[in-house]
Amino acid sequence: MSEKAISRGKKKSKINGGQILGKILAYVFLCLIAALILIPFIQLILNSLKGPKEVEANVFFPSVWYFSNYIDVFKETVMLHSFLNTFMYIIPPVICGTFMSALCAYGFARLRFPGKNIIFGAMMATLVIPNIIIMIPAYVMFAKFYQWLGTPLPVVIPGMFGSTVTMFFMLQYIRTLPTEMEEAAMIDGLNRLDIFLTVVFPMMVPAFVAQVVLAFSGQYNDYLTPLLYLGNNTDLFTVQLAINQMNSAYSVETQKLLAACVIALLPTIILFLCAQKTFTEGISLSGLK
Amino acid sequence: MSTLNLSLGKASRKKNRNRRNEALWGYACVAPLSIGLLMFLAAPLGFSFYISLTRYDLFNEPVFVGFANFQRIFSPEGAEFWRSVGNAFIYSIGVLLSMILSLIIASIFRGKIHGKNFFKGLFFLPTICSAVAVTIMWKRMYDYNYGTINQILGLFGIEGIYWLSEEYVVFAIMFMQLIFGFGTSMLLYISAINSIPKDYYEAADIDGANVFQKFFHITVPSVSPISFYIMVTGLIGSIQGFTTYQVMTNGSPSNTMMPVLLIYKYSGGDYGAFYGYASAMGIVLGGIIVILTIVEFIFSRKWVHYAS
Repeated sequence: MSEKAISRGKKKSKINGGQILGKILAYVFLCLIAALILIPFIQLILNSLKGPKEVEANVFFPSVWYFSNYIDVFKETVMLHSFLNTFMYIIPPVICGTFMSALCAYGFARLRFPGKNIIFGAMMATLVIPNIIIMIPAYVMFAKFYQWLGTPLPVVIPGMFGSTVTMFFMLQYIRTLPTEMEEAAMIDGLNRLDIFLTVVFPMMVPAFVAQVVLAFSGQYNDYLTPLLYLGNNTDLFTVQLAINQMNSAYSVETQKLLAACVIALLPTIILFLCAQKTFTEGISLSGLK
Repeated sequence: MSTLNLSLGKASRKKNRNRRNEALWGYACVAPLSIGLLMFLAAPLGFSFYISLTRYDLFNEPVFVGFANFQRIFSPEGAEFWRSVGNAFIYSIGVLLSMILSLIIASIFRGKIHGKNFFKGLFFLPTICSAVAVTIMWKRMYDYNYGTINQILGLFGIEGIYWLSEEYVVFAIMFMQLIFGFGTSMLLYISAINSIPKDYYEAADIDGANVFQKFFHITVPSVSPISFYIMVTGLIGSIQGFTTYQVMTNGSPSNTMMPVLLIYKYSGGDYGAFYGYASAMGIVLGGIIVILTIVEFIFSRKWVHYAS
């Protein structure tokens, strides 16, 4: 008790003018950066609620709030359709792909089979291959061999098989799980797939959800892949393609374009607010690989 | 005796069967991802080397031209390609700036800060936002007539600037990428700083070191492997940059023409359908990236060795 009091007293005496000044400077700096991030967002939201004349004049604050801009976006543009497209394109690969990655990780973590290390090594080696090399040849292959151009398949199918990065993340997660339950299930005579589905996978749900969230936001924001394969077909547009077309073709009024941008930003922002930890931990892990 | 042998044989046969069974399930588990990688990664990779040796427009049969596409890249005609690679290196200066910014912020977060989680969340937020929407948003900020930035300058009586012109566009894009792109490296630095032993700082406190001495003599050297990782991955990211540049300027002025954008334009885009040439550029670019990745790998191993 007395020791505590002494140490507290010491601490107090150590706080001097310089430290307080440093603290103030730190807060000022943080607030400045925060302002630089917030101003464009605030500007975007305010502009998206202005009438056509006030957007032109660029008054800071709208005098009349045009919430109708948001309704008009859905009425006048391909936005609603693009939203449905986007979800249809990304939900199957995100769910199925993450599951396949988990299954593959289970195979590597728990089962013995000849050539396992070679297959694993080969998979890890694919991480070195930059996307840019395969961009054009993949396009040609989808166009000529698979005949998938004009359909959303090139955007949907490749992801269904899983990804090496997700698999690696899952592998590290499985290795932290206890094996007793699996052994008990073996004795009960369950086959390996049943063990994975009923014993291992339920324990992996947190990792699975985290990877689904990350994959969803990554694919939702992806622009280059859909642009390559769906870029000239409005019916197949994703959200990203839709807002870019409004921007480059000047096909809608500015305030409506900006409203569309706000709408396009919402899904990942909401996801981030709900699962902030998932995103931040995902990044911290990627740096340690 | 013989029955014992028999039962032993049975047991080992059963064991064998179990092992075979396990192996089959093993292959079944890794099959989907393996097939996916073969079909959508290995196959196009192999195909890229073939197609880069041809002249191909997707409609007529590919014409074998040997190394002509690569020769074109390394001839004066390929200057635009190297110019775009140079641009990528210029924009990666922004990575260096964002590294410094995120290291400063991460060190501030080492201390007691009210609202730390709010700031952390806000600083990271832009990195999960749609790059297209974010770029349109900033394009509006930079607009000559209606942009907020020129408006603010106007308040101080400063003449508006054409931010997306050849002269200023580098600063405009770099600034946007700095403010909206440092979230990832900030998080990496935060976890790196958290793993520095506390007694380093305590020892420095006893020696009476000030904030700056602690920053330069403890924090900076301790996080140097992460700094190197951020720098190299940032450079690779810059080389593969596409969305921001395509949405902001679509490659004009020429100092915003990035390698991937150039490849995109040569593959059925504004510059025609030269899939062989585009593929060859992809391979050269990929080669540069692979070299950078290997350099990063070797150096980070060295650093890990020094640290232990």
